[in-house]
Amino acid sequence: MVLKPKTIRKLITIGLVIAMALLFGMSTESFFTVRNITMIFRDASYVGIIALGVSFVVIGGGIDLSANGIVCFVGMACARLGVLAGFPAPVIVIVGLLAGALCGYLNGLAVTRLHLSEFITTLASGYIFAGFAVFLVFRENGNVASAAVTNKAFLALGGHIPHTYIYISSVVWVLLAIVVYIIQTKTKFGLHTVALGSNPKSTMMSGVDIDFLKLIGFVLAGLFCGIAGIFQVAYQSASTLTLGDSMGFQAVAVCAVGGVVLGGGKGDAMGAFLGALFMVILLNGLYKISPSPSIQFIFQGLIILVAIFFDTWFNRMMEKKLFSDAVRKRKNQTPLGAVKAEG
Amino acid sequence: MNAEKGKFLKAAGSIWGQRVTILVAVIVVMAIVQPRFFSSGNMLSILLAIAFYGVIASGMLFVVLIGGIDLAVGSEAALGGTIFTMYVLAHDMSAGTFFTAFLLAILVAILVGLLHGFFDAYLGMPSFVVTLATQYALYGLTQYITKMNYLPVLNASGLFYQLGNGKLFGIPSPVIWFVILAVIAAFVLKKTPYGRRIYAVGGNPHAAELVGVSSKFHKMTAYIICAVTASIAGMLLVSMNMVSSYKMAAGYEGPVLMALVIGAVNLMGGEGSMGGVFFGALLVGIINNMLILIGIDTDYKEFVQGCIIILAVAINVYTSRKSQGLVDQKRRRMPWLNRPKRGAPDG
Repeated sequence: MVLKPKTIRKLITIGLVIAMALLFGMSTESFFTVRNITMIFRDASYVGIIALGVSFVVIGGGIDLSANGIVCFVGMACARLGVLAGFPAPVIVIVGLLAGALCGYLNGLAVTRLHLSEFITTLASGYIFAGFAVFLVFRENGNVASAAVTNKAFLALGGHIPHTYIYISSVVWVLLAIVVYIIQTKTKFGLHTVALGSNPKSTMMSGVDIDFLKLIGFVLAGLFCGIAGIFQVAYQSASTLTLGDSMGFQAVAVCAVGGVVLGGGKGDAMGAFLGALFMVILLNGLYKISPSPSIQFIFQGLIILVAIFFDTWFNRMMEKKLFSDAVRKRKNQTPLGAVKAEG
Repeated sequence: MNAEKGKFLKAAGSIWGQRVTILVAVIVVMAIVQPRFFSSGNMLSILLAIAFYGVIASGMLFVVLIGGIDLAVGSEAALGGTIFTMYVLAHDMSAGTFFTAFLLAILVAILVGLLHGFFDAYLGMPSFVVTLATQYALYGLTQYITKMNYLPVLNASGLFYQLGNGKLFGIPSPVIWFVILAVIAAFVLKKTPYGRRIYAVGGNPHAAELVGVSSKFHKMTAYIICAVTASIAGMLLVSMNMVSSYKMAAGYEGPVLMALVIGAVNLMGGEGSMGGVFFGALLVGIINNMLILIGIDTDYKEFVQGCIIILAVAINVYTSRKSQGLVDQKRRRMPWLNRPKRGAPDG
């Protein structure tokens, strides 16, 4: 059986995640405990859910850096409603989701209708959405104050599933990853997105509404940022203006580590999922070995570099292999129009 | 339309016409709202504020022109400033020490730039993620060598003091650095073969290779130039504040990119000029200053900045699309605009 390059790439990523987990498990006692593993999955779920949403945009050849702003805005909106006594929790969640999707829609409109570049639009709109949060923030005598969310049903979202150690957010993350994987690999929308990322011009020529695809990509990215924001506020039971800080860059980095490379057309939700897991296991393990943030920063940077290097090298090698395969095939064929010699 | 009016409209519609119009509009608004804006002290503080971003932006321009991006400038500045400070603190305030420390910081910046260039040009890794990763690594390195401490320079004197606090004809030294670097960058980009090749590589690396321009060499040098200017900005910051910390230039990449984008530099590479960047830095500085003078809460600063970037880029894109004749689609969506005028001859 011959494995496709895509499958090999994924198997290698899975192998790396497992190898790293084993390495940390051997070097520290407290790594393979139920508590630590649930914590890893909880921490990974926030950036992981965002990365799932952002993967739609990145596969489509764009980039979305506005996650920090959207998470901050959604978090603040939910906290605002969460402090009201007797406010129904489902309404808070729906407001959060809608706020996230709306932010994504605005991004999409700026990119498709105003023809602005994705990078600068989402960088600036990250500031703008974080600014929405500043308008919403609690104030006491003009100073920023914090208020604890009191809505019990809403706070339950940030906790465990009853009678287990598993956090709700990690379950939702895994489920979303499966759904997004199916959407990206099995549906027309997903395949069109890959086509858009590989070659936008020919995709447009073959009759696909690429503006609509981009718009939906951004809306989904915003929606997923909204989900992550809701879980984060429910877990912390309060919202601050620093919520989701640097998430925008981190989500893109996580995607890249998992093989969803900038430029588009490569990778899928499984890559984004594994990338988030990889990053959080790395940070967790490094923290266990040495709690100094400087070492963590250095290693985080180095590991991202190595991951990207590996990815670039792998893609190049596969391209070369495909090319040489095609050349060999061509040589074995009889030239077009030539008469085959008999005998 | 007579010729005079046409000429005027053309001048106002040109890129510099727009820029001057925007600057004049902002200044007129300021004159009405807050006359204190025009005090010489305030003018100097605007210039001082944009000097640091401007120094970095004049180097970043090279990287953006060859189609890359350097998100690590903040950490490069922190690393450069920290090495500079640590060397001076470990020795004395003499001129010899100053120059050695300065060269040491530049040398480290060159190494960082070489690394970035190697990853981008030789290994083909996307510069966005590479520089994001080196940003983490360099911040970590800076924290590691400073042990997360602030490094105050208590007995600053001599050249170390003059670097950030010196004045020439009443103009602070960082502003002079910015102007000198900007002029050099503009000259190199406009008048030297190297600068023209930078544009060629950014516009189409493949075509540039075919006519014998080494895209690898130009990419490497662009990253080195960017790292060096970032390092210089870090040293200016340290010298002015007389304290060094790993987070002194954190988040500088945002305003720098903003200055570039407002100055009509294409982030895809191959388009943009130092004049545009100068205008971008000036506008960013004036707007920041305006927000402080009007008394808007600093929490809203980034919000207003975000809105202004979107507005500036939208105007920019609209005019460039209009000049290419791509905006006519509106007519199709609003067919009544195409209806022939009453009484106009058919056909």
